[in-house]
Amino acid sequence: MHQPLRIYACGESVLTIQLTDIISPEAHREVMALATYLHDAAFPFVQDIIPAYTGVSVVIDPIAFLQQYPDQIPEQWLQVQLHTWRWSAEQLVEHPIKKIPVCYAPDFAPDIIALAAAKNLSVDEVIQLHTQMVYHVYMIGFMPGFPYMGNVAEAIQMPRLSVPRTKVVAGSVGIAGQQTGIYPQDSPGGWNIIGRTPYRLFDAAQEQPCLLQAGDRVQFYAIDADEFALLSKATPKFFPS
Amino acid sequence: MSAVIIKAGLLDQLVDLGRKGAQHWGITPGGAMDTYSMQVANCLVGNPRVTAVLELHFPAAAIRFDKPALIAIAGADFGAKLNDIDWFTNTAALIPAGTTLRFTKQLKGARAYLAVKGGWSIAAGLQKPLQKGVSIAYSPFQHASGIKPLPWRASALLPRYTLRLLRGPELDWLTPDAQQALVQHAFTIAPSSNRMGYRLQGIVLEKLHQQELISTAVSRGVLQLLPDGQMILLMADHQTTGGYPRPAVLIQADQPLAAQCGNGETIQFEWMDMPEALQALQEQERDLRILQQACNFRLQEYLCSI
Repeated sequence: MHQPLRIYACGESVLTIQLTDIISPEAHREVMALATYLHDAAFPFVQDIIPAYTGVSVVIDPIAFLQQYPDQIPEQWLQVQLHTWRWSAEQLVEHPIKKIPVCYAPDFAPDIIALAAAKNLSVDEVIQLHTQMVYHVYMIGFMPGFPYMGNVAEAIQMPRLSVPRTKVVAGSVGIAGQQTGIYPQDSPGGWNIIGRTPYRLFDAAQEQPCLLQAGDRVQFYAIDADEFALLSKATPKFFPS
Repeated sequence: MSAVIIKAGLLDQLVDLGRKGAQHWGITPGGAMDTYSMQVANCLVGNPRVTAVLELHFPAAAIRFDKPALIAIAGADFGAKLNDIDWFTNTAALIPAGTTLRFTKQLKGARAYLAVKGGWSIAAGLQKPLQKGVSIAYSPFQHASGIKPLPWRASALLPRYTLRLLRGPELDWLTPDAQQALVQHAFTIAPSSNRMGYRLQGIVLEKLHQQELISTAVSRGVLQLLPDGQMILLMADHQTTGGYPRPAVLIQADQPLAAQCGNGETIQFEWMDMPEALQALQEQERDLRILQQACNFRLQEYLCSI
């Protein structure tokens, strides 16, 4: 029933366990369960555990590893460690839905009109399709706190811009294919920008600096420019508990 | 009282070994480009090897020391001068208050590392380019007056332009010809290369198919194959995830050598196996430990004798 685990090394420090070839919230639960298992195992030479779309990467300190296992190859060690690990539904932790306000007004959404036109939709329909889904956070990457989320309704899926923008404003919400994401900082970027959130996605001063984590569930709701201004002033750094 | 940047360099900043363990937040580990020379500089002044040092690119800053200090320079040779006295790479020196350190020409390597006994205060911030007028605090190191280069030198990594690679997860996405070309042809480090990555210019490497890779974590040393068939070598400030095929990974023991190759220089690659790569890394670590012990011993002896 179970496929054998596919484990490969990418350099001396990074081991990746690839669990699936499918990008889906269901398949990703297994990714998160394995990340949690590895975290709890607390191997002393493991420096980081990075969940991604289809698998988990483990970053080790090879010198510390070799002090403990002088004659072993990290890849083979991990095979042995995970030999008995199997995903089961009991390991599932369902995250509460985090609600994120987005202003979809054209001033905040340079690509929403073009996206609507390309998809034969009205702007309101694009907003409705974007806000009706509960998205799954597959991974944090690209820049500090950037959440890769999906899956976007097929009707509003749009490939990346052919020429990336030199500056996307912090808080911008974008679509790239079946993914949606939020830029935590001003940056160059090629995603179709359809709105902007007043929420701060990343704050290095916090113990947990990212608003969103891999495995989280997210739903957007529409706000107007006045509400955006109001929330920008009183932006909660993190969700109220 | 501290060291003052009296002329800003091209890109000078305080670096350490980087922040490990935050890549799952999208935070790149960063840290020194040449982690070996950074540790050599620390060994020369008797610091713990992880202590933050100044990473200098050429043209490098001019720095005035307002307190006496024990300092060391390692990595690239930028023709350092303490006031008017030549100061050699991979050595330490005792300097009195008011000494100015300048760099006159780029003789060898791309990045120099400046350590001070007791460490730099990192209040100016890690990995923030140092501007003219910025001062960085350090604890003074009292000694008899005069500039005194110390009479020993750390052995450096020998420069080498053939760097060693581990096979990457997507090596077999390349045509057999491209797999051979990777280790038969030379690649030039493009002018747009920086601390994030080196763009390598050379023969176009053909893929067998146009399959797309789903993004996953990447690390320093990974060679990514871009859609145009050219490669990028990820360096200290790389993005944390990537979706380009990874035909190969530069072994960790050779990453400091790559960090000393500047833009416009040409490098070649050869294959290595994982056990050999791990052994090379262990040997490098052992060399650093021996250097640290030797430096501590010589320093103690020397400082007692003056």
